[in-house]
Amino acid sequence: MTRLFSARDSACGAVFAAFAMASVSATAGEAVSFAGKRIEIIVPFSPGGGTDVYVRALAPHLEKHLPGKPTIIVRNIPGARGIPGANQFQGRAKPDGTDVIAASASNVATYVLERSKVEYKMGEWEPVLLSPQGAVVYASSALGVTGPKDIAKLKGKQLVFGGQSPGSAELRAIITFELLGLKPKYVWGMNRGPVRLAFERGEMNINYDSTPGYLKGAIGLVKSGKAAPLYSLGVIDEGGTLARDPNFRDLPNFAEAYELMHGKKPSGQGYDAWLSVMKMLVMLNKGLYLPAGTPKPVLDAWHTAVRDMLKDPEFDKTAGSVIEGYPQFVGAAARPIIKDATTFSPAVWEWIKNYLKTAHDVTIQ
Amino acid sequence: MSGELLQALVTLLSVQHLLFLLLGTLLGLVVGILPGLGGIAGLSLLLPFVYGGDPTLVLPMMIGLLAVTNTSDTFPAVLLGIPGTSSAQATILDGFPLARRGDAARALGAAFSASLLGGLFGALLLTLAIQFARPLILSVGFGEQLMLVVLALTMVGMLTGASALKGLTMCGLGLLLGSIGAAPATAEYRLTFDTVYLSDGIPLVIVGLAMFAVPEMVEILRRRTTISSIPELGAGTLRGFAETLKHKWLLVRCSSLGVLIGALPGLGGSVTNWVAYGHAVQTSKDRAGFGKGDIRGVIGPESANNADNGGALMPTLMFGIPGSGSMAVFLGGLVLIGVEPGIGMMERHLDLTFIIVWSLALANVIGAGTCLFLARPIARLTLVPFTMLAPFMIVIIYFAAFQATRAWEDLIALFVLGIVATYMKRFGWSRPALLIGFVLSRRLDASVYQSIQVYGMSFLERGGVQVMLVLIAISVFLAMRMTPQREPLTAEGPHAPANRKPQAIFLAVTAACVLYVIYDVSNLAFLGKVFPVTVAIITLALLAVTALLFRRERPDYVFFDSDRQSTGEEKPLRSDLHYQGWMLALLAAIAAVGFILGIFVYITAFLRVKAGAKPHWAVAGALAAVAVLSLFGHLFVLEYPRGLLQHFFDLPWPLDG
Repeated sequence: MTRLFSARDSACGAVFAAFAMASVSATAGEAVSFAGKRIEIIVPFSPGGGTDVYVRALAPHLEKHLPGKPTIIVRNIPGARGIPGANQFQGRAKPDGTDVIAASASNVATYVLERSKVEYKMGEWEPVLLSPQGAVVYASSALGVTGPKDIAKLKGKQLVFGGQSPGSAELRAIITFELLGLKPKYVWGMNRGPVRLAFERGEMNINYDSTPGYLKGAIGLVKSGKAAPLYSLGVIDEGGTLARDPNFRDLPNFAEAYELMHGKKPSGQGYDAWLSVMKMLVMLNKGLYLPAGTPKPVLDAWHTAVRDMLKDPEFDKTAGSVIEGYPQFVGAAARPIIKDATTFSPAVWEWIKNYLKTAHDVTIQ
Repeated sequence: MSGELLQALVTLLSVQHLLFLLLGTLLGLVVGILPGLGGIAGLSLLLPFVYGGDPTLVLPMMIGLLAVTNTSDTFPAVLLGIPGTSSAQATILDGFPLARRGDAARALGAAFSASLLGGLFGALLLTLAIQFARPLILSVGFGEQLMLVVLALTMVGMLTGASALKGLTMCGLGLLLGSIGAAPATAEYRLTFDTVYLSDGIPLVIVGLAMFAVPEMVEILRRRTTISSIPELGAGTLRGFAETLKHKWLLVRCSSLGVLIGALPGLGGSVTNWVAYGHAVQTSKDRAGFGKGDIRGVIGPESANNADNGGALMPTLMFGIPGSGSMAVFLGGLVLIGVEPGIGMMERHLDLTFIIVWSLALANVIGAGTCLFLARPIARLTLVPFTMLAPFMIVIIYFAAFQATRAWEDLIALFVLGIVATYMKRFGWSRPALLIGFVLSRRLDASVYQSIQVYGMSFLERGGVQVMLVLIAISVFLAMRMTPQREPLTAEGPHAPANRKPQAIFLAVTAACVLYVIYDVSNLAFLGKVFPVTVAIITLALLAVTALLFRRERPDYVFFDSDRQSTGEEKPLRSDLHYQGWMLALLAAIAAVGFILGIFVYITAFLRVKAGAKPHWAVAGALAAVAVLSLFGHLFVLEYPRGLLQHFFDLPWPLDG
């Protein structure tokens, strides 16, 4: 087994790995190779979920492009919003390129909002690949809306929205309602699947789905005239500003929807808070990370492999739908986004705390 | 349509397709037998091979696996009293007593034939449902979901045991146990003691193992030399098969229940088998044998849990919304092969849909056939001296518990709840009632809140809700009319007011726990605490009445001590504590040297000391267990608990866990 002579203790491992790498590059100038190794990707969620499918779609392509064609295995550590899985990665991962974690928006949200239970230091991990994922807000046609232009008609209507809980990934959507001046009745304790079913039954009338969920489920309702899309959350472009979602070029992003509603561009603390939340939950939606202290040659090998994979037409053909045409960030390019998304300014903190307390009676530390 | 249906069958009957189906089915049988592993673990193993594959090959493999985990999980349930998956829990109630009477082969024959016919029934209804079920599923709103949960809860009435009062109390305790974790309405943590582990609640697998496997095992170790009380197997599998056919209407009713509960949102597989069992008791005239080895108590849940698959596939295929954990993995698999379930699945992929239907039917035939074939030889396990089996069973129970969340806390939770269950069994507090409460707790809490949030009280005006209310009333009426089969009240029997102190202590500890619940949640928001506080107050009231009855000086059904039940030759050889100590010993061994080394030491010691095996045989037995579990660990990418040794030293595989 590959683990035979590798050190488990991470500090020890860092030294060991650094030494091993240095000696390799010093003596032969050879590149890093994972030949005959077993690379373990921790997915801190159940099999079949979004993050799991993402990893399993990437895995065969990573195997192909990583030097030495290693075997990749996926280890699911589900439960408690991804905390135990990420904690275990933090504690046990060897910084030699064979231990990887696939983290999702949930990990980021708990990292930012629930510090007390989190042992992992996400900000210190080495990002390999960051895959953003947008979302679309839609409403029931029964409300008399047919598209974005009717958004102002929602004012004063009795809206019902279902979701997991206020202080979770639903923040990306519910803050937009608040800023638009909509006051839906909230029904908590539901996953996105059952919510969509309740929407179809007519018991809920405003909802959102992430891009794959929307394209696979809700779009059927839109086509049959039961639902109308309102706006996408948008994406942050290279210049750092909010742009339209590349998958929904016809739909306004949230800033444009705000303008349709209020007749002016969004600004102020509420909007800043939403932007921070949006970066956290949309831009950091899914990603692959190596542990802190991974030596540079190993990082370079991973970055190169991921870049080659993204350029590979084979990848585009079989796995392209998993990344849904969003810009992908490799290595150093991901760092500023992660920093932005994981460090909230005091003003943003204050606004979110206050919003959760007054609108949902939820207290966060 | 019928042309496409036939075309799909022709496709599936080619050698290559059958091989994939067979592969999936066999793997499904293996993960079903192993407690702790089920459809989720099996499908996760297949996912890497699924990617980019031909859907007509991959789908039979995945469906084959899903279809039969509820077939083979009956082996450990009937033979050892350990649920193979959580869908086999109710089967234990009558299946295990049958095995203990020497009727293991007959029970398995009935179970597998019921599984087979139930599975085929499910596949048939799925075929029909493809055309019609969409409006039915869409008509079940929040109010109807709530009523479904309440209806399932009324099944407790059939499972309270000798004292209805004590049974209802345990149901309340189960509801409270199930409310551990984030509250559905407010996401506030209840009863988590500030741990990450409890923030998701205690896993069902662990509660199931603790309630059934642990106490049964301790009791057999105390009393018997083999599981079966007679030294040879009685009537065979064929007789079991014939009995299933005799109870054909029970089979049809329970299968229909299975499909319905599987298809409708709100409940799911772990509830199906209990509802079917409750229904079997409700609708039988002579109920005397239930709980003591009535074959109908096996046929009901076994037909329902296989029919459940056909039902669970309906929302998965028609709406792209998984009805269970393993269906979620299946859905992930569909995404990986580029099949998009949901609205329009029937138009886009009618051919694949029929492949799924036929795979489901064929897999049930192959799976049940294989199990029927193996039933008699495997049933001989019940004739093996129990001290030889016990160490392996204890290891498997801990193994299964650890697969729940792969945390050390899993093992501790199992041990603690197992001890509680041992005394529940001894003092006559219904364990099925606790389990039903536990399984339904979160759904009850969530659906009460959601119905009222969406409709206010007006949800009661919906037609579907009113129909369900009538059904609930009928179920409650049947429960109240039922007199459970119980032993006569005599001064010598188990219901005598003797040895009251330990029983009173158990009652007092339970009351203290319930009081603690009220204290713990008192700081939460109203919506976060209303459910646990309401349940806790009702449970306290029931406990108070029980306590009053405890003052009686004559025999009463509130008293029970199974130690007074034993007849001469069955006298317990050791106290409860002796074998609880042996359960704890494995925990200690694992804590010291990790799982693999720990089970090696443990099995060797147990076989040597308790079974009197020769040293080389004891070591050989232990090595075999180590080899099998290491292999499974590698194959399924499992993880094993690490001990202090692994904390300080890096050990090579397989000793690293």
